[in-house]
Amino acid sequence: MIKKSLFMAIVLAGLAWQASGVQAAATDLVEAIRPETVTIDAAFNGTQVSVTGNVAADADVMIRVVGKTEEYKLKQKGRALGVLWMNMGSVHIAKVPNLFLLYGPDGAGSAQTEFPPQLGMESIRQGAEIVAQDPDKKGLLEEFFKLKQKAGLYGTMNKAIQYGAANGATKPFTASLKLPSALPQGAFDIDVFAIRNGAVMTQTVRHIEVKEVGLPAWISELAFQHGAIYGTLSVLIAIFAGWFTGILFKSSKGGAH
Amino acid sequence: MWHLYLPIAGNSVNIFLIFMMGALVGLLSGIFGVGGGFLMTPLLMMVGIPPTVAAASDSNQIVGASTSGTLAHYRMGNVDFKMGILLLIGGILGGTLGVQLIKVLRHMGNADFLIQITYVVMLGFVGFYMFIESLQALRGGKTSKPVKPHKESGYARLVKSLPWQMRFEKSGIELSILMPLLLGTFVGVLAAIMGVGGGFIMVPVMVYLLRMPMHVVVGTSLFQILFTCINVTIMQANTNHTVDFVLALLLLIGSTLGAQFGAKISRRLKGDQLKIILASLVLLVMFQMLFGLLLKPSILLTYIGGH
Repeated sequence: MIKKSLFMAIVLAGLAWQASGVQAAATDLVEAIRPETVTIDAAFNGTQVSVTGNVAADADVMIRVVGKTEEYKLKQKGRALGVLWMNMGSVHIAKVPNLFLLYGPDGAGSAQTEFPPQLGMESIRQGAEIVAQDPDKKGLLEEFFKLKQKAGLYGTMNKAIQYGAANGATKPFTASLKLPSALPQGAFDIDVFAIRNGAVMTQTVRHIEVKEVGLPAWISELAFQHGAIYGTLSVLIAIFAGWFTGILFKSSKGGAH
Repeated sequence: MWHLYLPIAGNSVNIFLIFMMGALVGLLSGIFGVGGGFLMTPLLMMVGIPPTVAAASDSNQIVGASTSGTLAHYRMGNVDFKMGILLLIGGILGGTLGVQLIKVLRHMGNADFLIQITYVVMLGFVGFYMFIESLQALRGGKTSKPVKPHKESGYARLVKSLPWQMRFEKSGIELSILMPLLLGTFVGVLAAIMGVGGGFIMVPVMVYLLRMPMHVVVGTSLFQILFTCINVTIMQANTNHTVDFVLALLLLIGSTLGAQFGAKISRRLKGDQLKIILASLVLLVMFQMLFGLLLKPSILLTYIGGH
């Protein structure tokens, strides 16, 4: 048993090595990603990550930012008694990313303006697992997309990538990837594709890390690790604030009532 | 620039907007003695706060606003502590009972349906009754008077026959201890089912069933809400981690100020004027909920946790 799994591990490692060798052989599209670590501080209100690199002069660049896959428990709204809309059935959606943003080039000087379907939302549709009483699972997934889009976590942004003047066989590109204020923490893939005639020529995968720092990090830590203390403190501060305003108002009116 | 990131809600908000929302709800709370959760939670959801975080952080905010409001009303001699504590004991009993009841209902399925229908019916009933009653009183008390004693007698006799009668000085009434205890329990059950603080039901109960004067009702209601929301905040923070303190603090600054002005405005209005404005507000919320139920929502899915 141990021998077998060891053997498997060696085989897998070999395959991985081979795969990475293939990827290294292909041209790396990305020169730099700035910043590679996105920090969420108290003043955070969404941010931009810039990606620069070079691509074949006759190809287009398309980028997607993909978060880790998660499970979602949802309620489906349906009609009760034929007229009233309310939460009816439970819906369980798994194997969908928590964030999925697509960035396309500026229309000028690019042949490709639409994201190839297999790289876009279609890839989520194929991977998603949906459990619900409602037989219309496709429809439910589209509703889920709407929920995500409303929070700015799924979506397509065109005109996010600009090209510089071609330099022989290649041209430089600059992408500014807007990330929403509701950005979750964790690791994200940045998939950069070079596309010609709707087909992927090369692909480079990089990662960015999103984490809270400063006050938000401190509050999250307290709230999730020491819930009771956090709750009690919140209540005490609220009472103090209410009491303090009360005193303030009393003294400003000279105590007359 | 004017944005602040909320770590628990996981989103950023405009500071000024949240402050204004706090001030508005605080004002209403100070005037009418209601927590304002029925208004604040939907407002927060509109600016992108998840429903569970909105509801829990709002209860944290209400702690501050009702401290401020209770204090202001206490100085005006409007808090009946004896009554408040009895209602509170009933409320805690009822709340515990209600939470168990809702578990059973959820198990049977279609609990949400029942909750929303209860909401609309309760708000509609209370709103219409208060509106018509105070309208008659405002038009010159005489028209409503001949009806009242006739209707009251049975209820009044029942109330008088209950054991453990007690004098409530601040409210100027004499009642059995059982009355506030039982009614407190009743409101507690409803509040737990509907997922609200219960100020909206408690105020009419105090006015019509306990026959307390309107001004004392407002102060006493705020006193009782204060303790209910302390309990809810700590429980939510401990079990669900949904209290966003930064959000609550922003709302607080607005609402404590609002509550102080509210208490002053409340003092200037007559009891019947207060009742009719509150009734209009209750009806407004009722219609808004009813429309929400009748119109097809733009998204047919919601995250679990909202109420």
